[in-house]
Amino acid sequence: MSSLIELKNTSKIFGTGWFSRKTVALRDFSISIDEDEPAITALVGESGSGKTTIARLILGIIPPTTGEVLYRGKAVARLSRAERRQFRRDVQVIFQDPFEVYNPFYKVDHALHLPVRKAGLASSRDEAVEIIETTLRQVGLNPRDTLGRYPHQLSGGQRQRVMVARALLLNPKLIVADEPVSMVDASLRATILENLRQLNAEFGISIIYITHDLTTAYEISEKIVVLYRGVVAEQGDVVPVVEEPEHPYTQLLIGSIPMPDPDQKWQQGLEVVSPTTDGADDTMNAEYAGCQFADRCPHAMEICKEAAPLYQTAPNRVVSCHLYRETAVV
Amino acid sequence: MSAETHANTGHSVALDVNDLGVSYFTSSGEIKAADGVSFSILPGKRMGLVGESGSGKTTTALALMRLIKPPGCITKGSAVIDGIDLLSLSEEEMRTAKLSQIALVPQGAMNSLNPVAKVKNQIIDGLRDHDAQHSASQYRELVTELLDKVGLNRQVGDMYPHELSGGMKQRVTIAIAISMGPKVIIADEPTSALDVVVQRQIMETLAELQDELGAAILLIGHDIGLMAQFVDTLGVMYAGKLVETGTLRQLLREPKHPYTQMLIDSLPSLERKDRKRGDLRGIPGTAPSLYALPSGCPFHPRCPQAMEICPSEEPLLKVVNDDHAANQGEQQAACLLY
Ligand SMILES: Nc1ncnc2c1ncn2[C@@H]1O[C@H](COP(=O)(O)OP(=O)(O)OP(=O)(O)O)[C@@H](O)[C@H]1O
Ligand SMILES: Nc1ncnc2c1ncn2[C@@H]1O[C@H](COP(=O)(O)OP(=O)(O)O)[C@@H](O)[C@H]1O
Ligand code: SF4
Ligand code: SF4
Ligand SMILES: [Mg+2]
Ligand SMILES: [Mg+2]
Repeated sequence: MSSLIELKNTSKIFGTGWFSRKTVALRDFSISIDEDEPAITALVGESGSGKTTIARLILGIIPPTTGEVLYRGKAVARLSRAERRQFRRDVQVIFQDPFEVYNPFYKVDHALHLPVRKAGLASSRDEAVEIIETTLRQVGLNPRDTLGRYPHQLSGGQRQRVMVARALLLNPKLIVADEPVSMVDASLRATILENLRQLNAEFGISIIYITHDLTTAYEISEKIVVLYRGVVAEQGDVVPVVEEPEHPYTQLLIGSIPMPDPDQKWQQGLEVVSPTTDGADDTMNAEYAGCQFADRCPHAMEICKEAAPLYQTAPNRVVSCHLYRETAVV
Repeated sequence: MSAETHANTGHSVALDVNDLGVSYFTSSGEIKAADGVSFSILPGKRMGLVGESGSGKTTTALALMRLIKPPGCITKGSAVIDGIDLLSLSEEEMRTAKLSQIALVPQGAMNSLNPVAKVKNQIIDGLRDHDAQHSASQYRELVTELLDKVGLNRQVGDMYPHELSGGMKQRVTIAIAISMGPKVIIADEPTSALDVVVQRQIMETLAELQDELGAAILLIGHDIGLMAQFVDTLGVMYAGKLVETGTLRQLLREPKHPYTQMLIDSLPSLERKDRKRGDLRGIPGTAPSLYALPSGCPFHPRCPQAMEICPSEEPLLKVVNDDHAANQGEQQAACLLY
C-alpha cells in the first residue's frame, strides 16, 4: 500500500498574529489517499467546517500549523523541483468559487490553454484546441458557447464546469473537487457526478469530493468524513454512516434534507439552534476544548465539556461523541 | 400561512411578467438568453424557477431588476408591479423602485459582500441610496432592527464579512434586500453554498419576513427538494424559454414536458424511495448552444419522445391540465405532445 497524499494529525489555526482572533479551522485531522486503491471519499460539512482548508492543505497551498502533509511519503514543503512538478500534475483541484480562479481580463480559453501548454500536452495549437474541445464536451459544455468568452459572460454553472474540464486535462492521480456541483441543476449534477465516478473507475483517479450535500455524497462516494467546526464528527463507509448515522450532528443533517415531495415537509421539531451561532462563534476559539457540537446537541452531558476522542464503533467506522464511550478509542 | 395572505389581498397579482426578452450581443452573434418569458406571482406566494445551468434564470432575475449590462439588453416585454411597468421606468425611477418594490439577493451574494467594509455600513449604503435623510443614530437603529429581523444580533453590524459564517453572511444579504420592504423578493440560489441545516433556518427566516411584508418571492435554484419545501408554484426554463409552469404538486407529481420529466427523474436516490444508490440519471446530451438553437422545439435533439414534427414546429406554452375544480390552478407546457 502506497499513499499518494497523507495528512498526519494536521491542524490549521488562522490568525496567529498579535491582534487577530484565532480561528481553529481544522483540528488534528488525518487522512491517507491510497494510490493502489483509488476511491471516492466525500468530505461533508457545513460552511466553515474546514473543508476548503483540508483541500488547500492537500494541494500544498497552505502549510499546516501542526502535523504533516506528505506526498509519496515526503513532506510537501521539502519536495525537489522535479517532484514538485509531478505533484502539481498528480493533484488537481476544482475550486468552489470558480469566479475567483479566473482572471477577469482573460477569456476562459486562457485558463484551459495554460495547463495544456505548461504540461506540454499538445504539439500544435490545433491539437490543443482539439483536446480542450473534447474535454469541454466531456463535462457537458458546448465549446462554441464557452470558448472566446470572458468569465462573467458564462453562467455560474458553466464556469464551474470549465473548472472540471481544466482539472481533467492533466490526467491527474487525485482530483480534489471542492463543491463542484453546488450551482448546477439536478440533471447536470447527475452528469458531472457520473463523470467523476467514471474518472475514478476508468482512469483510476482518486477523488476527494467536498460537499455540503449528503445526498450526492451518498450517491457516489465509498467513504465519507463528516466534519463539524474543524473536527471529524463521524467517518466511515458511506452506506452505514448515512443510513444509520451515529453522531448527533450527522443525525441532524440527515433529518434536514429537503425531500422533493410535496407531502413530505421538513421534519418538525428538529432541534434547530439559534442562527447566530451557526459556525463562527466561540467554539472555534482556540481555547475551547469541549465537544464542538455541545451547544446544539440534544444529548449534551456534563462530560461533553471535554472533547470526545474518536471511538471505533465498527471496523470501518469512527465517531467522535461521548455517547459511544463504552466502545474502544481508536 | 400564505393562503391567509392570499385571501386578504384577493387575486391581484404581485408581479406580472409578460413576454420578457433579453439578448446578449457578442462577437459571435446575438444570443437570446431569455425569450418570451411570461409568468405571474400572487402576493404572499412563492414561485420557484428551475432549469439547466445557462437556461436564463439569472438573466430573467437581472432583467426584472434592470441590471442587464451591455453587451446585453432587454429586447421586449413588461414586468408590472402595482400597475407600474419596471421595464419602462427611467433609470432614476428604477433606483427608487429597487428595494422598495423589488429586491434581489443575487447569486453568490454572500461572497460578494465588500470584504473591507463593516456589515452595518454595507446595509446603510443600500438605505442611503433611497433617502439620505436619516441621522447617524437613526441609521444605527435601522441597522439593528434589520439585523434582528434576519436573526442576527447587533454586534454583527460591527463585524467584517470574513468574521461571519456562510449562513450569517447570507442573512446579511437578505437584510440588505428587505431593508425597504419590497413587494417582490427575488432570491437567486440563496442557499446553494450552505448545508441543509443552515439552509433550512435561512429559508424559514425568509418565509417569516415574507409573511411580515406580505411580499411575493421568486426563488431561483436547482434544488428540487428545497423547492418542494418552499414554493407554491414552479416554472421550468430551458434554453431561454419557460417550458413548463404549474403548481408544485402538478410539476412534481405529473410533469408534462419531457424535460421536466427527466429533471425530476434525475433526483438522487436518498431523496426518493424508488431508486438504488448510485443510479445517476442525467439528461444525455449537452444544453444547446444559444447561438445556434435547434429549430422547432429546442429540446428535440435530447428528447426521448421527439416526433417527426418537433424539429420544424416551435411549441408554445399551453394549458395542459386545468384543475380549477381541485383549486390547483393551471399547468402549462410548451411541448407538441399536447
Ligand atoms: N454578460 C453576458 N454576456 C454574454 N452572455 C451572457 C452574459 N451573461 C450571461 N450570458 C449567457 O446567457 C445565458 C443565460 O445565463 P444565466 O446567467 O441567466 O443562466 P442561469 O440560468 O442563471 O444559469 P446558472 O444556473 O448556471 O446560474 C448563458 O448562456 C450565459 O452564458
Ligand atoms: N485565510 C483565512 N484567514 C482566516 N480565517 C480563515 C481563512 N481561511 C479559512 N478561515 C476560517 O477557517 C474556517 C474553515 O474555513 P473553510 O475551510 O473555508 O471552510 P469550508 O470550506 O468548510 O466552508 C472558517 O471559520 C473560516 O472563516
Ligand atoms: S459529545 Fe456530547 S455534546 Fe458532543 S455530540 Fe456527543 S453527546 Fe452531543
Ligand atoms: S415538442 Fe417534441 S421534442 Fe419538444 S419536448 Fe415535446 S415531444 Fe420533445
Ligand atoms: Mg469551502
Ligand atoms: Mg444563475
